[in-house]
Amino acid sequence: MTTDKLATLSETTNSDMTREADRAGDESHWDGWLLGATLTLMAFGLVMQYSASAVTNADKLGSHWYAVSSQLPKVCLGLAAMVVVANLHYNWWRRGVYWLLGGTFGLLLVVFVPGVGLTLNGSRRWIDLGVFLFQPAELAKLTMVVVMAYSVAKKGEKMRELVFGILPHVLLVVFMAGPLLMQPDLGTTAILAVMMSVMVFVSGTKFRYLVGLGGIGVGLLAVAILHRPYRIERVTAFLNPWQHQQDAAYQITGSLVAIGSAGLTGRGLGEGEGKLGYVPELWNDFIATLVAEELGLLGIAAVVSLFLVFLWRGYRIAQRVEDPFGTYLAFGITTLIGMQACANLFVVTGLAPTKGLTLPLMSQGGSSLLMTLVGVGILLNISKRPPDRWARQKPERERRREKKRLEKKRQRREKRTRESDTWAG
Amino acid sequence: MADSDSQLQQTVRRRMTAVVVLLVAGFFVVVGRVYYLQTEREDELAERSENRTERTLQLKAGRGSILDRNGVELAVTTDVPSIAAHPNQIDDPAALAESLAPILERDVQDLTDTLSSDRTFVWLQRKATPAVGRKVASLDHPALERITEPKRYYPLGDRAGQLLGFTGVDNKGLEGVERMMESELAGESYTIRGTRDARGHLIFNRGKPDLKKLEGNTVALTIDERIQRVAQSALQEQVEKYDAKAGYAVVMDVNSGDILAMANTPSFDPNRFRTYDSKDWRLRPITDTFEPGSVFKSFVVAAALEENAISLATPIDCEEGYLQIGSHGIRDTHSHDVLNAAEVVQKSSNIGAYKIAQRIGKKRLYQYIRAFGFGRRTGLGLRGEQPGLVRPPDGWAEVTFANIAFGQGLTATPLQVTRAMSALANDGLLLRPQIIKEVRTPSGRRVRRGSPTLQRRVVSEQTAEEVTRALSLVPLEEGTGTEAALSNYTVAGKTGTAQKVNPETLRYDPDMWVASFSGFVPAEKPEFAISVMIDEPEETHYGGVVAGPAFKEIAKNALAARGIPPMEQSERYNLTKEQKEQARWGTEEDVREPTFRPPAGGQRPTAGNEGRGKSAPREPAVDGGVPDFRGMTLKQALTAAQKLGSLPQVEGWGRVVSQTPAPGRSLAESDTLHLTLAPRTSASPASKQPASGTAE
Repeated sequence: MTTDKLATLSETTNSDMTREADRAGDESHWDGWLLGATLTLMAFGLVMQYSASAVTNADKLGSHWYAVSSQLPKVCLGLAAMVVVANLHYNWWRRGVYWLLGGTFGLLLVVFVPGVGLTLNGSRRWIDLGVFLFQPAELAKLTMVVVMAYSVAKKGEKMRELVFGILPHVLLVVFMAGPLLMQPDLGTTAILAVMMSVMVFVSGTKFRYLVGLGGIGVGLLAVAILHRPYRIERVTAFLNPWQHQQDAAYQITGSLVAIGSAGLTGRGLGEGEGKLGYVPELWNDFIATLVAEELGLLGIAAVVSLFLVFLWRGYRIAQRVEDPFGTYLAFGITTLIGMQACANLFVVTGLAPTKGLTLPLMSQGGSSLLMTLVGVGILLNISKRPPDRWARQKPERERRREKKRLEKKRQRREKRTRESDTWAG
Repeated sequence: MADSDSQLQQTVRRRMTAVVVLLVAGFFVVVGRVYYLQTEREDELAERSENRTERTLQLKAGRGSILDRNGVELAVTTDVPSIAAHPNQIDDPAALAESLAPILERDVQDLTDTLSSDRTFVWLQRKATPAVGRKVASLDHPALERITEPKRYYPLGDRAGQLLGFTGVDNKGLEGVERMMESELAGESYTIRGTRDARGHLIFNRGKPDLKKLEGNTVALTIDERIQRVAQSALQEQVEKYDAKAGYAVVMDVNSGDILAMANTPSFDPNRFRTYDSKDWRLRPITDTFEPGSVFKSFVVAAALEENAISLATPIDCEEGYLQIGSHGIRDTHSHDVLNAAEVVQKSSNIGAYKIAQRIGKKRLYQYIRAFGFGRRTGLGLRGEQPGLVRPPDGWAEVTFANIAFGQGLTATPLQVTRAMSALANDGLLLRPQIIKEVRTPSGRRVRRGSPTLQRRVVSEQTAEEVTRALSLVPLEEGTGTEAALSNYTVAGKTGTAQKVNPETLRYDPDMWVASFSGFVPAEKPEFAISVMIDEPEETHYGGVVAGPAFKEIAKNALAARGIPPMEQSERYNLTKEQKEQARWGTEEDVREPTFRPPAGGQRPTAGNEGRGKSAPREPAVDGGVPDFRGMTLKQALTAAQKLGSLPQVEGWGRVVSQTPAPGRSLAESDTLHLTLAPRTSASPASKQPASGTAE
């Protein structure tokens, strides 16, 4: 009786607490700073994209608005995706991790299906979705983060061991690298490898494994570079840009000239000269060049500050969530976006060799924006620290299922009894 | 377990912080890098930026228009497309050449070669037609460019073509008024800073100066395009009718010196100046000189009247049409016995003109010739104007003097003849001819205005009127210029049938003539002085017949165009045949005092003091060995004469043009060897022999 009472008491307390927690979770908000930084970066990006491409588009396409008008649907789609994802409990990513992995891999292969996959500039990277060209590689980056977060969170202490901590993850990268390198897309492959390494690193693996891993990675990268002449060219152009001004280093020297000649105060919004064809893809990978050229050091400081806010809030979200998967996922996404931004800025300012890397949220393009916003959605969801109702209701569901099972059992027994009674009777 | 859990958590937290710190550091490096680029490297990179984008263009604002006196546009500047290409941006030169060739009317292969180069810029067609520009635009090829350039356009085609001249590709005046007024017409040059994009296009995003202000001035000519048109067509008609080499006409406003028309055939369309031979660019009424011929008698008679050497009624013995002067003879076309001075003009007697000239003498005549503006440029301002050649009188042999009296042995431009004629029409006042009516700035302010400029009085009003009366006899029945007569207006004018020197033989060629008619209308109150010259007409060469009709046509239309009403019959000179007798213009005794002294000054010789008495024929020469001195320089002649043992009597300077005794004759019969010399210029070859005055 006592135990019964106790059980009842504990049960009520438990369910009360749960409900309370639910209520608290519902009342907590998305991280306003993160959302604000994201939206500001996007708006900033749109303005700069217009400035970057108005001249070229007016000339080639007859509409100076083209950049904005083509980008707006993608922005809307991305924001919608972000809102949806932000309202989906992040644990669902853990539950659906194998589906996600399978789907991503499938899409990476679909690129090679003739008629579906699209080849641009010599690379097979796109799937035409009508609204925009979807690049599965962008999805692969996010998938990588989710899978790694899932994996390292599950393994916990075991991450220190080579067999559990390193090998499966290296295999995962190799598995993904296959179709990516066939596109070819060395940039994304490198990011996947780096993300994997970062996740392995933060989850507590031994340094010596990491050093070994790094060594192998650098070796493979060297092989990949030496294997393709254009990659060698890019590296030599990076090392000696002014001697390759007219060919391999055209874009980077154009960018340096645009940034430097503008002076600290910049030329003023819309006054840039790099857009006159001196910096190809200015609205895309080299959007930061335009920011530095037109808005000067202040503009770059603003962009960097927004990304720092992003990093701060993302890291804070990661630290505040108690569930390891949430921590790793938030950290992974924050790092993925921050790292890409940083790498892009390095390329643009001539600190790293040119790679096909966009500046997240600011560059023109659909896939990158969509996947970044999905990532932001996940971060927002984690920031709310929502109760995982589905997980919490699991015991109840099981109890209900158990009850149902017992009920059925009982009914069957009763039926048998009745039958035997009848038989007896 | 809980212990190791928190330990792991701590490790994770530390490592995550490390990663984030690394990223933050990366961002700061980026800011530092941008700072470095924009401060330390700013100058170097700014220079690179300027090198790639900064372009300055030296441009000229639009050229001013040239208008006629009534504002009709004779030369305007329009914007036309020039076609250029960027060959380095062409992927398929052959295909592009294929589609371009028919538009530009160029050879496909040639065009392919041009487009295949790796140059960044190449002109395909400068100053194409707007239609070509549109067709090129419709190709819509990114490597093709249309650049608007100003092109000079002459809407009236060959109207006053030689006068207007033309401009070169850079819109700089090369000939005619375009050249003369270059400083006024040319737009101011200005520098424009542009930005060059990576494909080489220039973008002018830094503002343009107010081009309207910088445009060249508008030049209004004194030309009346209607009169010019008539002059050209009338000339053309006569030139074609008589199969002549060329024709020249000048129309001048006698009251202002304004040139109303200046024409020469063959005509010239400055829009297509390249298709013409450069000699057709010349405005021959000022650049070419001719021996004026009998037209000149007007001025000789005017000089004699002014000097009171004659009156119009003075009888002149015309020697029955032949007069021997030294070894040469001068003739009249129709032989006359005695004519009065007016009739000498009317019937154009060479001998009569010589006799009249003799009455004032060489020096006086020379002063009048110079006073009438011969032998010097008129000051019109157009390039290439010739002064004509009038030798000083101390070099005149007697036969040269006789020649000059009927307009041979000296040269003048058609403009000079017209101006001298207009001085007679303008009460004896010689005006400077002018071609510029006014110059206006683009905003309409007048910066220069042509006004009548009096150069000098040549003869008195009375003399001018008397000459006018004599000249108005010319178109009458008995005159030489009946073809120039107008029904409702009195024409005063003089025919001219000048012998021409054959440039090859340097002798007067019996088949080369300049037929002319120069005069003014209406005689009583002159408005226009008009000269028409037809160069080397075939079949007939009489000035009245060949040039007269063109004069009439021009005069008729000029009077109509300027709205000059016919005069009342009572105000007109009564020149009907019966009235002519009673209007005999006084008697020989009625010689008035000179009212005006020509500005040339100098001693006034008594009439007839000089040059007389030399007309007696020389002794007949017998066969002998006098060499042909003609064409020799004085030095050569003297050397040759020394061999004969004779010191020749020399007249004039230059080269020997005639000699006495004639070549081949014996010197023994003649006491002295006479040599007559005259200079020779390449511009207008002088004859080696004097003119006889008629076709022989």
